[in-house]
Amino acid sequence: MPFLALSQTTTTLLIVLAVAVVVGLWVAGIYNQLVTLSQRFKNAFAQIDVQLKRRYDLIPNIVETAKGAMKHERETLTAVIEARNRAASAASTAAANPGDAAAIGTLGVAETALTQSLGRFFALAEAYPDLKANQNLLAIQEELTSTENKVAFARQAFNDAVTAYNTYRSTFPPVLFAGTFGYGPASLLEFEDAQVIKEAPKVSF
Amino acid sequence: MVAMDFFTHQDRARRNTVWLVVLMAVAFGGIVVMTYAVIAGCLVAAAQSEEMQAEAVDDPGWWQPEIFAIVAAGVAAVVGSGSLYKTMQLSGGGGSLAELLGGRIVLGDSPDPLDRRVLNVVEEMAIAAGTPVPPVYLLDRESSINAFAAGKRLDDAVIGITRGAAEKLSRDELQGVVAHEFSHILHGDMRLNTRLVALVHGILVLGLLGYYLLRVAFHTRSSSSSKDSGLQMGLGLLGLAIMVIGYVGTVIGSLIKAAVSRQREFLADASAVQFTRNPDGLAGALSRIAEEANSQLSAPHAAEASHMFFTSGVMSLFATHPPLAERIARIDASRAASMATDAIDAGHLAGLDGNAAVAGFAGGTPIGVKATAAVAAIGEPTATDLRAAHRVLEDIPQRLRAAAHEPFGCRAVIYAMLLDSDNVIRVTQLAQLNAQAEPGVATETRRLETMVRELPRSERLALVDLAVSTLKALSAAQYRRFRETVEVLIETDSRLDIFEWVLQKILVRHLDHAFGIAVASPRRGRGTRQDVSILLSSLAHAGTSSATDARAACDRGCRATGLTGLAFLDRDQVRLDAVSHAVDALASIKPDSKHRLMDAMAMVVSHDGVMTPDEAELLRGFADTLDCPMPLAAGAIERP
Repeated sequence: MPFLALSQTTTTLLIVLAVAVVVGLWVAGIYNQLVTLSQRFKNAFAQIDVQLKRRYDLIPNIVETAKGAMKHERETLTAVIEARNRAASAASTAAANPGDAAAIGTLGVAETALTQSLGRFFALAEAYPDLKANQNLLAIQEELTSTENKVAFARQAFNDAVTAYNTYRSTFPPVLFAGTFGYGPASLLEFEDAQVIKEAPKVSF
Repeated sequence: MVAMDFFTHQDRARRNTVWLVVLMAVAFGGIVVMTYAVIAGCLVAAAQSEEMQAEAVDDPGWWQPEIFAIVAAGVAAVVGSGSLYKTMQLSGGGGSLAELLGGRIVLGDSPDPLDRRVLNVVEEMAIAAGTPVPPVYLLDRESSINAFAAGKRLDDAVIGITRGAAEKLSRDELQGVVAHEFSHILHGDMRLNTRLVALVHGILVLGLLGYYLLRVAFHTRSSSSSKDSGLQMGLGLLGLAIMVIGYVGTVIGSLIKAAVSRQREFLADASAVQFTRNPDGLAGALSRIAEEANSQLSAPHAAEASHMFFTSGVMSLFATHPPLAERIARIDASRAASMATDAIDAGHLAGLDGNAAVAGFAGGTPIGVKATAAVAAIGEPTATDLRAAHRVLEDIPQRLRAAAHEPFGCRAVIYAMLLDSDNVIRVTQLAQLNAQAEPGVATETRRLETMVRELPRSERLALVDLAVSTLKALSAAQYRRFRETVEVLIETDSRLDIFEWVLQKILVRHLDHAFGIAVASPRRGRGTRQDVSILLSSLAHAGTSSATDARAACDRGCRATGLTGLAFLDRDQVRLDAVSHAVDALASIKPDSKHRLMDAMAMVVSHDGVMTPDEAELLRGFADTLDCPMPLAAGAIERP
């Protein structure tokens, strides 16, 4: 039966081609999903970035306000400003590419350092009754706390988005292509939140 | 240009979809038959040459059901998978598409003045149209002037704007462009486009398949036996034929798609002029694009999405957008007409405002006119609504707006709106907030509480509309926690009030789905007369505490539906959960039935000439669930 033989060949070929098309579409689908998920955590980083910048803008004001009263604490004040500058530059590097694990890591370290030096600053400020009653400082401090809460919240959203991306990336079929498409693993932004640090001394004493 | 109403557009969109399905079936059938003819031809030819050699007795003939079935299945698989892929890609929500194009979401608290302006324009338009604010994406890498609306439904729609448009257009021009995109969203154009694009893509894949078949046939070196070369020849011819069929199909499909798309563009232009009453804005934007002479995007995925942009840059039969000059000319032509109606509108408005002051004793007319005018304006906000939206947004205290624009504060705004006026309940609620929500949220909520309480009730929903777009930026885990907290706060006093109900409806419709929260499936099938009775009775009770007046209002609405067998229900028969079920059931009725239903609702509301906040909120909840975005000026009570 020559026709049947020929039709079988044709059918096989059609099936092979159809499978090839489906596989191709499927790989394209994986690529699209990677693009979407990575864009999502990048957008989430923008949210952190806005709040971090607001925080970096507030810190010099605090230092400026406290400078008069805390003449003998120059070192602490300088340390805060330096930590602030390092964190600000780390943040702008990270904002340029939130998928860069090294940049996110640096930002995490710089932020932790900044939070710690701020903690020391506020601990010292407790000793100055003038400062404790300074309305201007209290207002900025209030604003700072609120901004820190916002940072913590935005950071949580960013980490959730990164986790979603990393999880998808490492599941079976996408893991085969993610590297080839240039989508490496992204890093979580980890630093100790201000709230945690503030509570720490209570435990140690 | 006479503007059609929202329901006519919806109806037309449905009919267009039916036509598309027919067209799809015809195209598919044609492709199958042609492909089969080619294959059968090859087989017959092959059989004849075999016969010469082997003297086979069977004449295969032209009709081979088995092969026809295989061909049909093959073509269906190819075209189907191509279409399916495209549909999947385009229906991932507007946000994914915008992100695929390299869009950056514009944050509500962005310090950039350009970002702020774009966002303000979009917010005004959304509030005017009575829809939650869609997320706005900025295409930072695109210096050309362009914009798009993406997303299949109202709840996953986004607006995309190129950096060029944000920088080079004036506020009025930007408003024209945004109004144009809103027309696409409100008129359901994206869904229609998705179907068209998917079909054409499926046919294109068939063409590509033929092309590869052709290449395989001619690039495979085969042994020199004549049988194999015959097979090779046959395959090559088959490939060529499929390629031709696929490509011709694609060309025809693209022509149809482009023609449909161009019509929708003219409509969107006309609607934009109608929404803003400012033909100069849109015309200005278009001529600026003409000066630029380049509105094309550079993003790799831009071509696939060309249909949804503001201008296409391609000037031919295949262009998805009409030529700029023609669009400008049409806007100019409608300018005169628009000015005429503008005068009428102004007169009408003056009359309204004058009457509104005496609404208390003037009887049914003034607000009555308003409620029915509101229904006429569903999906078609006017310049009046736009001005009202501008005013409402200005009225909301700056700090409250800023909070609503940022994920942390935005939850606090919603929580603050849910705090009870009864202090015992309020204290319990705050304790629950402390236990449930993230650190600092309870403090933030208390800080916003007074401002929220002082906000007129009519402006509360506008604030919710602002918040919805910010809430979309939460992660899934954060949203789930927010949602649970909202439920806890609502349930504290163990009774559901109308605002709480509308808020729930808005969250369910515009956010739960996007965050993958399983929504208890709404009642299937068509709504019943009982459902209509429940809706009209609930509105009647919301308007007055007197059962007699409520009955009269309800009867008026019942007559307006033209249905028999409707009944006025007592207050205790229209609990909010029953109302909720009823409106869900009615969500799937036909557009013209919805139109009559909305008209009847407006009748009930306007019966006593006063629209209470309860009525306004219920009406908004109904309109939202029925997919009939109701412009602001209608939903809110304007203060003199």
